Amino acid sequence: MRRRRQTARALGVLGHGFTALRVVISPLVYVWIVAGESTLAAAAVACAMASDLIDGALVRRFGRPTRAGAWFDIHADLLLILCAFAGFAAAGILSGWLLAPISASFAVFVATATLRARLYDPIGRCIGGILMAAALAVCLATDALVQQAIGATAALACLLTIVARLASVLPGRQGQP
Amino acid sequence: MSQSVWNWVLAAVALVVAAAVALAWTWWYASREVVTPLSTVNASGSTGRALLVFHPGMSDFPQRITTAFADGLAQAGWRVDRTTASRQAVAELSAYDLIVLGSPVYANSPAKPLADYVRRIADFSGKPVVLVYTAAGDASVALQSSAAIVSERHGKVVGRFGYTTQRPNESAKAYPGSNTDRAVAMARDAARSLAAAPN
Repeated sequence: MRRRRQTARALGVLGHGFTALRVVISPLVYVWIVAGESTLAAAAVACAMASDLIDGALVRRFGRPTRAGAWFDIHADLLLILCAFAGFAAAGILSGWLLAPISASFAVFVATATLRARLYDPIGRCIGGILMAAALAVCLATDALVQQAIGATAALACLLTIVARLASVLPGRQGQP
Repeated sequence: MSQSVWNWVLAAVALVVAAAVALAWTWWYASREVVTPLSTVNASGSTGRALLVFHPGMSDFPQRITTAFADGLAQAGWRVDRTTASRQAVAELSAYDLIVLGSPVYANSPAKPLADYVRRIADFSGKPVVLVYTAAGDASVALQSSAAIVSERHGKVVGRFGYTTQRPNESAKAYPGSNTDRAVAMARDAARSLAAAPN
């Protein structure tokens, strides 16, 4: 019984370890993208996506989900996404202006997350996953036009979540689904 | 349908619509003509006179490469006239000793404005032509097809250079910096060596 409890606790801690793994992977993603090693960068982003799927589930199932852990998860996602898109800009793959809607969407998310208003933002709940998938797709794409289209889709997804969140917290709209 | 499923469906539909809009916009943006006035690098250059016609693309990489190529020619004493590929671009080539065509590669082809420009030039009159392309993965197919079109129009293709963002541009690590910085330095060096014997 005690052994099982210890194993469960260890798995809970492992969940946070997977989140920390994304923090470690992020600078590598930047370096590999800038070096033109797109296969390595794609593998790293894929590992980060897998860790994002696993960490929350492990902590919820075996550990103690905390507010700090949730914020750590969000910021680890943001770091990875910013490193990937900064790498794309530095490598001349995508324009640097894409960092603006990405940063803005996270800023709006952070600003509105603590509000009591009921937010209706179907894209925002998976924006981290969408942007990571976009980063992976850009790494794997072998055509510049496809990469640009993926970048523009990511920017539009960020704009959609910003508009949805701001519309939800506008005076007179709070509480509406 | 429950609210949760409805939210997922709505998110998926919004993403598909966003992707379609993004693809249409990207296609339009990449295919549009960019008109710029003719500018001259090293106006006092006396070794030869080159015309560089390019499409700027959607990121700064194609423009950095063509600028580096123009700088390389200028450093070798050439006068370089630069302009973007459009209906307003110079079509009279008799004053030039070398024609440089620069473009990003989209779907294994050079950008539409540059391809249209080459089609408008009915006769390159045996002038030496250099192709300087940038691509995500591989520029070789676009370089080959463009070289064939230039040859059909009596141009003499004396150089084909492809630089990529998704693959290392050189394995010997002879150049410092990022993959892009290396490509820029390689383009400058390629122009310098070509300037010595363009024919």
